[in-house]
Amino acid sequence: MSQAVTHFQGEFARLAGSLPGAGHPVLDGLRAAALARFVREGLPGIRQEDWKYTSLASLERRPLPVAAADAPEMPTLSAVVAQAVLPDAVHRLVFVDGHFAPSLSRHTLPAGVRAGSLANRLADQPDGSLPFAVDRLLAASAAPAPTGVPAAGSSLAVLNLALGADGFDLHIPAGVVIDAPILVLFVSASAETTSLPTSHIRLDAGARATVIEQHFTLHEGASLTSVVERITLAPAADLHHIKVQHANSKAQHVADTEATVAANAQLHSLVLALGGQLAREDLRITLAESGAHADLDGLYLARGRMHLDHHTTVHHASPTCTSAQDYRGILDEAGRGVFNGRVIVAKDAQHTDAQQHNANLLLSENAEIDTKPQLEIFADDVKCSHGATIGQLDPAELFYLRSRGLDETAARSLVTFAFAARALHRIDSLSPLFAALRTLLFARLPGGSALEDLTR
Amino acid sequence: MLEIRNLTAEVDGKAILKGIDLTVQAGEVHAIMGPNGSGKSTLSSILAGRDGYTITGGTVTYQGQDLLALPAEERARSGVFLAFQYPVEIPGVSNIYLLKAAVNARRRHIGLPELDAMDFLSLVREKVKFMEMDESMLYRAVNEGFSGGEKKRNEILQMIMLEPSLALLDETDSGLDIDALKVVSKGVNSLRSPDRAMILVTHYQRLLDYITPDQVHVLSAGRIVKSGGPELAHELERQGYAWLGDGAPARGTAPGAAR
Repeated sequence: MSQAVTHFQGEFARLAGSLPGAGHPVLDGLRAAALARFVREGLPGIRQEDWKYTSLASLERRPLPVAAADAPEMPTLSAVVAQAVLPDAVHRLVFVDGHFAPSLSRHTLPAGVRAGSLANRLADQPDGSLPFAVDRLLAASAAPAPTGVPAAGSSLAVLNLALGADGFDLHIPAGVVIDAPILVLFVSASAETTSLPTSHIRLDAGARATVIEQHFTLHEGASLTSVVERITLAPAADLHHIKVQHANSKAQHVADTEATVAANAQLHSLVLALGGQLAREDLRITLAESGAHADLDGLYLARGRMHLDHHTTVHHASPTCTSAQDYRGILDEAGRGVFNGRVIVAKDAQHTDAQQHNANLLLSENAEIDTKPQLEIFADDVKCSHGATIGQLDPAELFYLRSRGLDETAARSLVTFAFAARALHRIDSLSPLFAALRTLLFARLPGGSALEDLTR
Repeated sequence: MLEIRNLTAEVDGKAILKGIDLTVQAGEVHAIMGPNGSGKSTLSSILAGRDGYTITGGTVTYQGQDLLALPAEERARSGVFLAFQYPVEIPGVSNIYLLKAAVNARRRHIGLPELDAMDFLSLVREKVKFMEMDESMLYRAVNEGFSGGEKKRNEILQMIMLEPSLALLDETDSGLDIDALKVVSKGVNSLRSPDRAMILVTHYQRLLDYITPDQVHVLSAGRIVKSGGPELAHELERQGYAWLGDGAPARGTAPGAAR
């Protein structure tokens, strides 16, 4: 039996009795079944097509214990806020090692909005929380999904159902519009631990919100954060979902995000992968009813020996849905990127408009990108496009800047930044959020510190 | 200001410039005209320091220094400005950001303190107004989604912000409607001064209705085949390039012809 399986079986034996809602027969059953699937399948391996380029061997060799609810190194509020992209956010929910930290959190959301800890909901009303959405993970075996249907979550994501104790829980009732962004900070505070946050976001009809999810480490050691997130948008709901991951260079981050978008609802997703020794993002979006829309922007910035993998699936299940995807990667030093984007257009999904683009900038001879855009179209009256590019800095752009007096290094930095900044095109460039994200980028781009001066 | 002696250059082994001689004094405006493919844009690109050309002979002296020995950015900082025929779009970098970087690079070079944010902003606002542009364009990405006319105005805005000693305008009039042409010309004329020189590279005489040159040169097949006063431009307008005879390609298009 694999080391990881033995390890997490042991963790299950240690923790199952203390999980929120433990003792409730249906929940107990779900968790046991989830563990059984993990035991059966083990960690995803490179022989699986979806994991061909991303090896979890180090996780297999050295699985880390699941973090306890009371982190021995509970960070201070100032340490957490110092890292936040919006230090002044009025709605701030903080999770430390995957567990809700009420003392670091605050919000002024209107009555009727539920925003907080999934553990509380599991403990208070296990029955009400059972549409856990994650049971699809269980239903799916290791067998590949039938043609034209996105695969369910991996066997790693299943661990969250078996062992996950907490996560972000958001429910916005019909018609409620939240203007200020809801900042959700996932802090890995304890080195040598596994965090398994499971988040649920549900917007009822016509509700609108912006959720900024930020994942980072406050230690310099190894850690694993494995996120499972389920997003449900009712008709005409509108969600801006921004995820920023900047873990340290020894940490691993794996995320399995699934969203269902109902009629005329809109999901605007932005994923920024800026850190981690290994980070893998699975994002599956189903446009379930007519008029649903999703746009997906992404940026991965791999340097050092970082390995950043993005697998996206956009499933056009109904007619007249639209999707637009633009993922871009900057690969420097010995950084490695993987992009695999699937667009599936179901048989009845006529008048689909689906665009997908993946652009990559290779800044070093040792950097590498494996990109695979895939279109699977089963309808006949659709407008779809996809493509991938891999290139170096554009000499015309470089010369333009040098002819204005910028030296070669500054010009290269600026053109590289410009390439990255295209991922932020939906964010107001004069907003504090844009400034914070720009600072994160500058800190990670070659020559970026010189550019920081220019923006003052 | 600028002295070009017997300059020859090639691209990919093909000779483009075949011995250019040109002297431009401070305070002068020179127009270089010629048919497509005569080497006009190559000349301005070489003067600005664009890569991809091999200089095979000759010298270029700018303010007493060997211009060809300087990298593009140092030419810019010492006062050479090229207004591009096709200005480049740089998404993600705002106009104001680039302007500030460019102005301060030039100021540092000539020993002036960098402008503080307030002084810079009031200066740039004044110039934007002068160029009859909307202030919001300052916060848009460089040339991104700009119309042809907006791009050219933006080039001239950069130019009047940088106050170059030697301005090279490469086909600045192409793609401009008459209103934009007037504004662009206003910008260029505002910079005319006894300590500044300009070279206008153009296919058509139209621009020269608004900016009167001191000298006009006709470039053909890599050589200056004729030089004269402003009246030469009108002669070209009437007769096209073909009458130049030797050195001019027989199928040169007539300037001023609609296209």
